[in-house]
Amino acid sequence: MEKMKSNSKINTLASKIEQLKHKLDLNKALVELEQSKLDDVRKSKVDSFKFKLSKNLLKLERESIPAEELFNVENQKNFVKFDKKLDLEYRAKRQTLRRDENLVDKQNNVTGELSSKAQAELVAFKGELDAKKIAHVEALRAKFKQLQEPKTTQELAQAVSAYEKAQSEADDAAKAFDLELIAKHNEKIEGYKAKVDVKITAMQKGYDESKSELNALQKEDQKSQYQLADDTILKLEHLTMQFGGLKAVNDLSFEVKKGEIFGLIGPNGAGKTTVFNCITQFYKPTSGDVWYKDAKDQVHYLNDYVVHNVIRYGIVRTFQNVEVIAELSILENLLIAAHTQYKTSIFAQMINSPHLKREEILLRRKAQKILKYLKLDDIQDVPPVGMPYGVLKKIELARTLMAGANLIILDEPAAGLNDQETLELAEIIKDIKNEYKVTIFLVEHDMGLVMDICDHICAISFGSKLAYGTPSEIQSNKKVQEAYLGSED
Amino acid sequence: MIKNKMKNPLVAKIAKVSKHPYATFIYFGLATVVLLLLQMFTPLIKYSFVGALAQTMCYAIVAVGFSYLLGYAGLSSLGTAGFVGLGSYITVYMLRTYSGMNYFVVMLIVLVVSIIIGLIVGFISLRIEGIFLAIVTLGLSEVFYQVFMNATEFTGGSNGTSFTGEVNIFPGISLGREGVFIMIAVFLTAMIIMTFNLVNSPTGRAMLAMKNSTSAAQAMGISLLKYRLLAFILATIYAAIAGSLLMTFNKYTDPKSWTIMFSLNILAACLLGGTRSIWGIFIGTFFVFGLTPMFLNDIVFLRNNPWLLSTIIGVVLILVLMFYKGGLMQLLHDIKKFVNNKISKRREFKYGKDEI
Repeated sequence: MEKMKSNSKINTLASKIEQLKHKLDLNKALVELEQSKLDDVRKSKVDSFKFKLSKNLLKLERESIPAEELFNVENQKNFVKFDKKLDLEYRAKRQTLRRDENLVDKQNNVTGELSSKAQAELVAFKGELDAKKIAHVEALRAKFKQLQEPKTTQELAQAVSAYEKAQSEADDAAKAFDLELIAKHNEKIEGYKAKVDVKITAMQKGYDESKSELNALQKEDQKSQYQLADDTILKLEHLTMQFGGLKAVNDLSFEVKKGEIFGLIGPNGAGKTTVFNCITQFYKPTSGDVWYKDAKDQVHYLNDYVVHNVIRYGIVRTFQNVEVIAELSILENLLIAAHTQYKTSIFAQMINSPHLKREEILLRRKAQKILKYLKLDDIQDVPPVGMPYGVLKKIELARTLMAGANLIILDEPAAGLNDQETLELAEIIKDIKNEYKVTIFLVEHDMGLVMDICDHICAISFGSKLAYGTPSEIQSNKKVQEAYLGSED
Repeated sequence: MIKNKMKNPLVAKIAKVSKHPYATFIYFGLATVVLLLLQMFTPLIKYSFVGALAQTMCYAIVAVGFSYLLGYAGLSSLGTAGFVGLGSYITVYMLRTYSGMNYFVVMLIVLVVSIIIGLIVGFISLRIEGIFLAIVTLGLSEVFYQVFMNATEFTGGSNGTSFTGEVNIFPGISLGREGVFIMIAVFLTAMIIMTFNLVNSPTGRAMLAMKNSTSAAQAMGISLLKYRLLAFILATIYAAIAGSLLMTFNKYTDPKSWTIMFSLNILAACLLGGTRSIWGIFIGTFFVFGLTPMFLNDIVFLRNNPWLLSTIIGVVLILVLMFYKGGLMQLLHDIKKFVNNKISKRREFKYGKDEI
């Protein structure tokens, strides 16, 4: 086919442009990533600088603190530990007392109050423990040197002023060191930025050139090529899908307009999902054509594409019975959708190259943004196992957004949801359409949802078109009513 | 609070490095080398123990490679033995014919040949799935066996074949038994680090997506054939390299080592340990291949009744697969949970439920 040849030339150029764009995006993030890396380095350097100074300062600081306070501070951990030990002893005693009076059941629950005698015993024990504590503190005090040789107020004041002077000097030194490092790093970053900028400008130039070349090619191509109307994004022409003797879809034609929510309805077994599978090339149509216009206004003849390449042109689908990956976390489920956006080779992945790390960071950020938008961010690290249907459907939606969809195909999004969840979903779908400027094409049984959110509807029955129009037109259509409710005769 | 009481940042840095995900793998590699040193300089460890350890390490490489197929891509293959044998025979042929040849050149040849054969076999067989793929690779395994038996000039037939002398890795450096052991440890460590990287990369995720839902994977732009082929070739490469390393240590091979039995043992080792965990696979390999020659053969009763060992391993395998689908790794996890639970129950018994 003549049509196909010119298409393939454009496709190679388009994929080249896509790669350039990807590199460009990565390079634009480079400076920021480098900055955060340098910040970490600076922090650790300043820390070790402060550590070096702290050895001297520590001595001065200890001398400047009054003996009583110093004793408490130094032995804080010891006190806490001892208190814990005493507490455990107390609890063990109380539990034995309870057990003696049969106040504890098999699940270790307490069933009653201690008798007054036992309580008195417990109070006595508590007194013993308190005495123990006092003895412990006294022993420690006896050992503590500074308490034995108390300083005069004058000496103390001298020590404090000496310490404060040393401390402020050290702080200044650390600050100066930090500033010096910042200046050094800023210089480094400037140099780096200049280098990256040169690279980016060169890339941008290459990108612009290839883009203009592509545009010229497309313009020329469009003359000879099949034309879609300006506002059409998807067009089915005489689509037929035959399984053996059964015609699941029969000579179906309709158009989906750019930026609308389009609904495909029909009774059970009407062939709605088959239409989806024909568009996304899970099934190869027996006859008929599927045309699609991508975000760059290029027309694609979808029948020629392999199923896993359809996503590259911005067509992303969800599934009727939710296909999430149970062995991966929700965030990783989104990264699966970004599979075509990773450009590193398998060898780079084996050694976890810096390039891959950068890509991973950027795509994870993108995924987190989408999860936040859909309010899934608090469960992002959990695998989607045993979650409510509403959440799973949202994950699938998030996946379509992550893939950078231009046309989102939803297969029964409201199936298995309760009324509340359906209402929420309708809001989300409308919101996504406006927020991400996508076209949405859905199959649905829930008439309320369809009539509420769709701009246009196509009704089919037994694989053939019944009617096409706005929701109110469809509602008043005789044929549709007959297909759903049966004829009156 | 004393302001200047600081922890040494160097200590924090070392702690951070030692918690790096690679660190545990490197510790493992070092631990095996320590065992070798103990054998060399002390009577604590027997000579035969180190031999068994080297062999088990090679089999662990095979099993880790196999986990790409079973744990990640969701494919089952029974052709593993053929590829391990292939690596062994190419190595012995090269080292026997061109004595003193650089071992890394030999390994490169093994790699190239295994990739080519893996590609051919993969292209033909990966269009089918599930049990049928297992049957096709079973046939493949038999084909390899017959070749090993009958291509006597190349393989020495049923008597097996061997080579003598040391293994040259660089001009002037040749490895004896201990050197080869260290080389195996280095390869094992490097390959598990590589595996760790790969399974946590987009490739590993793509394989997992494919295993869980082929339609979702395709809709997300993952080519089924590409990733199945990739998993198959990775398994092939790991198997062939392991075979080659094993040859440099044992210096002898015969066709009987590379029958369907070996493939099944690798499959069992993977399933037993837990198909998606590197440590699980190590445990499984140790259980299936290492336990008998390393420890149990020292017990006279078991040595005289070898059938008992196979029976025990068989029963354990059945029990694990019935009750712990995630393998021994899941069992260990459960045991940990059980012990923690017991400890907290004991605490409750002694001190009561209410705090203070």
